[in-house]
Amino acid sequence: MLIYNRTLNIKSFPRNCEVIMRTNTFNLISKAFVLCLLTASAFGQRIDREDSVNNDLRMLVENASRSQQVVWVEDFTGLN
Amino acid sequence: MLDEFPGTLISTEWHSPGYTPGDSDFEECYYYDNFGGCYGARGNLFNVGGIPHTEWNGEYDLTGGWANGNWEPAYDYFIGFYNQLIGSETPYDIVINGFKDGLTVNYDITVSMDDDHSSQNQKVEIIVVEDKIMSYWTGASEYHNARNVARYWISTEDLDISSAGESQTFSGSFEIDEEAWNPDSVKIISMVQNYGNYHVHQVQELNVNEFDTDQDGIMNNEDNCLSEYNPEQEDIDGDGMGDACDPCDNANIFVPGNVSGDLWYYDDTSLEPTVLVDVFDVLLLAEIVELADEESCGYEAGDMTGEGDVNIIDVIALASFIMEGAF
Repeated sequence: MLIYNRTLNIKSFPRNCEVIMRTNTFNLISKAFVLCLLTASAFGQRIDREDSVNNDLRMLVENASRSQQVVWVEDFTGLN
Repeated sequence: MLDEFPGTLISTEWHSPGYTPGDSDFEECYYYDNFGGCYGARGNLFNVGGIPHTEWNGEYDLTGGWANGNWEPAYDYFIGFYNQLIGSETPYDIVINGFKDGLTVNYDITVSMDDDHSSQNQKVEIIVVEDKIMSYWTGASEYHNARNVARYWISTEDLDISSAGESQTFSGSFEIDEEAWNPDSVKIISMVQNYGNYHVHQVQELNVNEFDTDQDGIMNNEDNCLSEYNPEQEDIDGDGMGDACDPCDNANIFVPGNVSGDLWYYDDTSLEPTVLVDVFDVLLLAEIVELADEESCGYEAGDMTGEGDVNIIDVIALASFIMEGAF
């Protein structure tokens, strides 16, 4: 009897509330997903950028080394 | 990358006296005889105003710093400079060689040409640097491994050659300041630079502990003959002195007892001589002991007791062996 009542109650639950709950849950999940995606994307691009610049410079120096070309960089600097 | 590709990207740090803490000696660089004059003299060539200022082969420069010592934003510029420079051809080749005797460094810097180029305003510069000095960089709260810090700008010489096949050698010497510099990290950097536009046409570097005086591919500190070309390093008697420069063959001639190095043939059919040990060796050994002549070949051959030292006991021992007919 109790089971029946609960079943009855669920069945009589307003349909619009169920839709609202589903929509809210979807929004929460989608927001979290988008947030994760953006974060990963942003940091991923930052790391890739650093790697890319380093790799470009490394490749140039390596190629220059193979062809025995020499470059002199003078660093006018100071300590603080 | 400086360590990964040595001799390709060569750097030098010129430290501003105005931005050097009191407990640092980074600004202590001799410009000829002018103590502390390097930064100003070098900076004037390129109109250096603010620091950090990087100068790439005297052709490209970048001035300005980035927060907390982060140089990554500058890499794009550096790549552009580097890309331009490595495509340039140069007619010059520089070979640095020499001989280090204790703290005295004698150097020979030879510039050769494989193509014609005017010698007008062409100079050869010779600089001594100290590599890999760890120092604390307060602004960035981290330790900085200073590379090739300028210590002594020795000279700027006129380059007179202008045709392919010609070469010119610049020789000199300097003393390593043992108290101020790490003797293991002292290098010579030499370059060909035009004093009209200050472009650098060639540059080379070498640690003074890596000289190869006889150019046999073996560095001086590992070479068993410093001034004789002997890439195979043969040393038949194993005394540490290579056969190419060892006047004493302690394996076949100056064997124990044969102080004079005399050889004789048993008869006319003998193909190989044998050592001759007699009373004359005793007399000669006595003379070596009296004169303390450690440089003679007979000294090592006269060490009859094998103590590593030659004295009157060895003379008596040699005489005894001869009287006993041991030879």
